[in-house]
Amino acid sequence: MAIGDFALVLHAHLPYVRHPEHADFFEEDWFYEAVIDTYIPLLEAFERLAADGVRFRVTMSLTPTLCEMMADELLMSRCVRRTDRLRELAEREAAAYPAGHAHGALARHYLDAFGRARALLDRTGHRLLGAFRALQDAGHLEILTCAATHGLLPLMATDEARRAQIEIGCRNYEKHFGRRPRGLWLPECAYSPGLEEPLRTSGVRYFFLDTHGVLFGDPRPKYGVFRPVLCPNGVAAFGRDVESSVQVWSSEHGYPGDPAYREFYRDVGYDADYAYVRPYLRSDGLRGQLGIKYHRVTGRVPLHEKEPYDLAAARERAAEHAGNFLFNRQGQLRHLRTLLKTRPVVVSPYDAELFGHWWYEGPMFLEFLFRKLHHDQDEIDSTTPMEILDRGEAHQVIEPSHSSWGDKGYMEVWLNRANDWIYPHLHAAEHHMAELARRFPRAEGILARALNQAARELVLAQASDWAFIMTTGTTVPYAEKRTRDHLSRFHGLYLQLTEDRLEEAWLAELEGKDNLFSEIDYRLYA
Amino acid sequence: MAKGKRTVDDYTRAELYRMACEAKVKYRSRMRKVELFRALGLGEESPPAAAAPAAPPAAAVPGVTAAPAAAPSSTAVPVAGTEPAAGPYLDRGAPLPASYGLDRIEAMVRDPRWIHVYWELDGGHLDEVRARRGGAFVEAAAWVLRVHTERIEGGFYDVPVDAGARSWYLKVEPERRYRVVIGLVGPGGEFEALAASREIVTPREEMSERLDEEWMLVRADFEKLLEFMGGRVVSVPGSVTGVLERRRLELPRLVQFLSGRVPGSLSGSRAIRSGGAD
Repeated sequence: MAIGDFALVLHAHLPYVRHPEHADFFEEDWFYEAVIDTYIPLLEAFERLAADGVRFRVTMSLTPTLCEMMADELLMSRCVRRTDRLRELAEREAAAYPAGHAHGALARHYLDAFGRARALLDRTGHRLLGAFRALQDAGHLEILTCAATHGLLPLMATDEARRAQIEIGCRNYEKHFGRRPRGLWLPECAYSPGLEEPLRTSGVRYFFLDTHGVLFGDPRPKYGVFRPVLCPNGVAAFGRDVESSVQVWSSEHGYPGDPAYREFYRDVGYDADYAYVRPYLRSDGLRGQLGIKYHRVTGRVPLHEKEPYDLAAARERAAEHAGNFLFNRQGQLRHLRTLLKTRPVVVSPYDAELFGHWWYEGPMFLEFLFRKLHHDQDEIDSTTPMEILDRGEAHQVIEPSHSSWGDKGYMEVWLNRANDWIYPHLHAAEHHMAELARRFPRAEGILARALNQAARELVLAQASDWAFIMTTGTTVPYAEKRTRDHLSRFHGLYLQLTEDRLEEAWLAELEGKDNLFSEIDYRLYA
Repeated sequence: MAKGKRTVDDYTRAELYRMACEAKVKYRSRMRKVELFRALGLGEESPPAAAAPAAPPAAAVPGVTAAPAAAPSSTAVPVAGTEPAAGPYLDRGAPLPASYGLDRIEAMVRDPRWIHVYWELDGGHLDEVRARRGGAFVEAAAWVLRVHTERIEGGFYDVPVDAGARSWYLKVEPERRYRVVIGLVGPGGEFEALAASREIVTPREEMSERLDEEWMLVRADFEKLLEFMGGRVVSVPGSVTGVLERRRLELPRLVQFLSGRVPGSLSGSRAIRSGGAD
């Protein structure tokens, strides 16, 4: 008999980046890297576990923008092309090293990995969503949706805009997964009182909060974050466990910084002879990540002092870390069980892209963890929030606290001097969109197309990623451009609609560029 | 306005639009009448690219559009005064309206101790005040943000601001209601409100003192139940044990701990890789 539950939650998200007008585009690489480094290795790990009869449960958000990118033919064909190019490079690398050379063995490992990635893409008809859906239908995965474009809901001005972000997400999920979602990942775990109501009307049963979102709830939650709580309207919230987060996230104490693990910043894209790697770089010729790496973290040493990567040793370390993680969860859950006198659940959410992309051994770690959970113990059940709610138990009713999982725990990451200029424009667009929806309650033909495109431009402008990038300072001009371009397109459509002078050619151009959410319905803003 | 010079009111939008077509003004189809007027360089008071206090984006450098994406270059519509200045050689996107012709102030929660407000006073209220009280009143009056909140004697306090700033961060207290009104305080203390925000509530930054418990059943047929009962389900009372109090969880410390971590997408995570060589 298990004493408690462990719920792993992976949040997979990328903003909608698709630039058909360019043969290759820096920000589009985010998607290809995530597919090749994270989504495919995770799918492979999950499929191996399922094939071996291991009972495992993963809750995973696939945000609507990410789903639309995974379903986009252009992006997926480019992804396949990239996989082929990497395979070619790995082949050249493998041939370049003499037998017995450590780099040669690694190159063959990459060749094999890229080959398997290509095989998975082919097997699914380039539709990765189909593979995720199959895992959900088999009961291993519980896939969550998210707000349409990962818009930061507490910083929106109108209920209409919040409701539409949520419902667009739910309908997109329905399109891709054949049923309504049961859980929703609030973008950045950002919650403000009242958000549970549009969730309820969209049929969402549960969402996630950062630790203090639950702990600062009112009244005080009796079991902290170790049991679900219910909002007064009956929608459930699960709080993030701190201890298991530290073990993976922390740069001081986290597993990914182990000296045996692969070093992210040493890559043939940077290290190899320029003429040799030039054909595999983007057309602008700038050196960049290619995903073939031969060094390990080693320690706090300069990049040129990194030692060679030993895959077998790293795999061994991932297994040790999985064992350590399990040992710690056992201790934690035993302690909680005694303390709370009820069955506790530890909810551990992470960005999915941490596993594989940033932490190369992350998918191995998860696979080892689930095998150990299944074979080596019976105290902890791998579970999903939905399975817990389906037990039909009573839960404490609290009003969660305004919070996010961003730096400092509230909204500052998305509301500071670097990005606050966006809100007067975003809010004006929200009001204008609601005005349009009320003014044209039953539009058809080109009018409906323009209204739906206006809704697309609004949600694209609302993506929290742009404000986030403006704060972190990584690719700020791109984030500013995306914000302004979508807002400007929205504003143009608004004026054309209100002044009855739609330009079909321009509308068609926008429909081609910002082509996501074919199912969108502007009436959601009424 | 110089004598003899035609003002925006002397044109129809169709006329201006036709002229804009001839002059190949970019984004003309998306412009309001006054924006077309300015884009054509007809507005003496607000010549193109100079009406707003801040420099317009990218297009401030004429003809420079080195960014990879299709780059709009003509700046017909000035951008909001609060936007960061754009650097050269980068396409930072299409221009946005400087104003939406509204009288509005919006308040947003940043964290338990700070709220952000922005405002726009282009909807005519200020003109109305000027007409009613005279220009001298407006000149002599002080611009303030009147912050209404509970637990304050009198129910509000005034924060002097520069109206041209268009946005402000206000230091506040956790767990309180706030409503911010922007307006003018005349020499005699009289207040002219120009726009009022929604009421917002600042977040809690510690655990609730309230230990009362309410418990609710979740059933497998929850959805049906909700349909029947309109979201209200059966509540059962529980007992108070104060388990968490005994554990003495120190939450501010916990939030502090969390502050070391930055969440986000792949794009954002680049900045904060866990572990490794950093």
